[in-house]
Amino acid sequence: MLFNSIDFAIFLPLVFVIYWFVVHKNLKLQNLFIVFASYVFYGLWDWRFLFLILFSTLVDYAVGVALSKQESLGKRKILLWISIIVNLGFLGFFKYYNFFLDSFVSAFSFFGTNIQARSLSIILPVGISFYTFQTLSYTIDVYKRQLEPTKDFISFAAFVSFFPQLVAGPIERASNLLPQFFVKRNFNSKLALDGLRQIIWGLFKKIVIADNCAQFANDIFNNYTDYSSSTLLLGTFYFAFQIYGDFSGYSDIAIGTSKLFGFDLKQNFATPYFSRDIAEFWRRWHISLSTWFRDYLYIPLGGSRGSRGNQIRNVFIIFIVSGFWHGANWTFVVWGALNAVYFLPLLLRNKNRIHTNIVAQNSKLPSIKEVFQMCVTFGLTLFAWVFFRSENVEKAWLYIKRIFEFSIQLNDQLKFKRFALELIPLVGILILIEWFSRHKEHPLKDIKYSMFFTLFIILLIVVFGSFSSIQEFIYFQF
Amino acid sequence: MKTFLKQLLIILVLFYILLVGLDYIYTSVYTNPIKPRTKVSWLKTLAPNQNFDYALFGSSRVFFHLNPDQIKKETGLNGINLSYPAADNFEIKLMVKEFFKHQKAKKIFVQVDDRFNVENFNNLAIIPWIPFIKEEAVYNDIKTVDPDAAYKRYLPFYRYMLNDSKLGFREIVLSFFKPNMFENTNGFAAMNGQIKENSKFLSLHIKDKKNKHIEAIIEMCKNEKVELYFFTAPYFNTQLNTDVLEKQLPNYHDFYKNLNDITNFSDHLHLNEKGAKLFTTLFSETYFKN
Repeated sequence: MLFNSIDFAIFLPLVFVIYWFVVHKNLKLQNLFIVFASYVFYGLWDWRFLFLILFSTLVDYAVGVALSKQESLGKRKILLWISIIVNLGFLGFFKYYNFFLDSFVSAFSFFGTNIQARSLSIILPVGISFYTFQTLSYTIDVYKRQLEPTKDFISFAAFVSFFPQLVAGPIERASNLLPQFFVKRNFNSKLALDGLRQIIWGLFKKIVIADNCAQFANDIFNNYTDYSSSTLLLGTFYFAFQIYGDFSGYSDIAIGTSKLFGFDLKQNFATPYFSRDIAEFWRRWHISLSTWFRDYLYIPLGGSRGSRGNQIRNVFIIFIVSGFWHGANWTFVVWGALNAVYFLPLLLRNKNRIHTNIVAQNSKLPSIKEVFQMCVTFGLTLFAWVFFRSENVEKAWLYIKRIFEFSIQLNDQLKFKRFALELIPLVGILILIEWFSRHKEHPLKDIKYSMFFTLFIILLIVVFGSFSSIQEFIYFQF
Repeated sequence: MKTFLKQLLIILVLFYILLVGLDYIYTSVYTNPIKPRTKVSWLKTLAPNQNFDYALFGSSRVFFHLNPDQIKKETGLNGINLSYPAADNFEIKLMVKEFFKHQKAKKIFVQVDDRFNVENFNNLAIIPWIPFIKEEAVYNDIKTVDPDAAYKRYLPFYRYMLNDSKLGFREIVLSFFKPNMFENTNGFAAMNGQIKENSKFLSLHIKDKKNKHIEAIIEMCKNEKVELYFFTAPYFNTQLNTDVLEKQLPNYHDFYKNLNDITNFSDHLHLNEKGAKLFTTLFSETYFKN
């Protein structure tokens, strides 16, 4: 079920009413109803994969309970590995089986040996990368004794399947979300209103920015041989805002929806395109995934400690794995590796944490230096997005090559009868709004004349929204 | 909860008012356009009570094929091309009906082809009619073919959101200054390019049965006492059983195998500028020079 669909517009109020008017008096009922609603939400996409979620939930719940009773380090390790193998096993099979098979076949044929292997027609269960990581965080935290294992199965099942963030995150840590299922939620008007406004803001980013940019980016990337360098550059610019609007929009809707039910999820995006270096960008982009990799992969590997060689190795591992998490394609690996290359000089010069505050914190406008830094950082991310968006590395490379032919044609008309530059004002509106609210979780939070601004955003959605070409959320495929 | 529900209600009420306001503004612009951008808008804004010698109706296979200015030069007759791309029989019927409301013509020409059996509306061709769905006559027709017609009529602004790329903000802005491509040519536009040499052979088939929209057009013309002619425009490298049309329709003329030289065609179904010129001459010789 898409957040920007009629189905969800019916589902959400229905669940809201039952949650706050029927099952509100009892914590168990509240949690049970969340599990039920979440399974309906997911089952409407494909009910068969509900068994996968249920199995993951059962395994991790059982591992958690077993860990609480087990003192022997060796046995605790075995339990942890059971959870890791089951969860990553499913993820590996559904997401990476064909990729590895094809890569092995290609590698062998490169050396002159032809192998006959049949790839499987596998449907990727929506959200598997997200709930797998969420539930893994639970077992790892319990293993490390950083979290008390729960014996309340319903609360745990609600934590794993919580519908607002089930299919595309944010990847919530058990330490933040799980305890919220142990306390009966009482309706909080302020939180719910804030949630409602955040949903509206998320819809703006998805329907107005992402879906419009998608049409332009798709046209330009699909016909890149027909357009000038300036249009190809615009194509990457539109894709940058497509993926930002799409994913951060989804996150806003997910977080806003959670607030309607009395839950507080962590912020997932913090105006990443205003970053002054790549390190800052990664502290602001898909925060729940970046911090997951930081805490469960980068730090256990040694992080920024140890020899230079180890530091470089760790940076490449975390970025390449992060790239690979996005999809089974070499384009994502190259995208990850490129980001590692961008990040490494900052780490090696110990400058990866110099921009921890927001840009132009005490002024309305940025300094020239900050503008320059933001432009350079944005330019680097644009370059990397070409790989992320392209079907394969070769096409990405050809696309970039054409950009560097430096042919400028500002009035390029696209195949779908639009001028390439047409969308710039709309993206400009987003940039302006985000700039003046960059210190907040979302622009409609704690704002004067909130009703007026909320209506203004609704007006923008209604007038500029792309309703005739509704696109699925990009991150559903990851 | 009360505060939340109160705020939610205010948002919903204001949202509804916003939609009603936008619907009113958009509909006003489409009803009184400075530059009519579609054939429907153009027809609705033509000076009323004109007496045309003939009017042409159909899809892109008339829009790109028959030039009334050329016919005027060749025969001195004053006509209008009211066809538009993607129009199927239902949309053609709407155009003929709308034409008879305010205009007159001695002869009506309707192009029929492999789409003869289509009785449903065309998703694309219906769009120019959507701003006028609140007109009783238009609504009554659309609701016979589109089950969502009531939503489009009664839910404010829904129809414009649904068709944002064709009727949205961009189109509204363009209707203030960007003229259409057919106004100065009495409804004709030429197509460029030439079909590739190695293009495939097309085999199309029409079922031998009546079409209710075409029958309605025949009835309308009878009531208006206007001569009605059907014809099939040329195809390239295509087989079509036009004998069915010959059997089903009065005053039918078949041009489908005429002008079969590759240099006349832009694709299988459409003549290019050169082909359109030749076909227009052939058309006026067939109908107007006897």
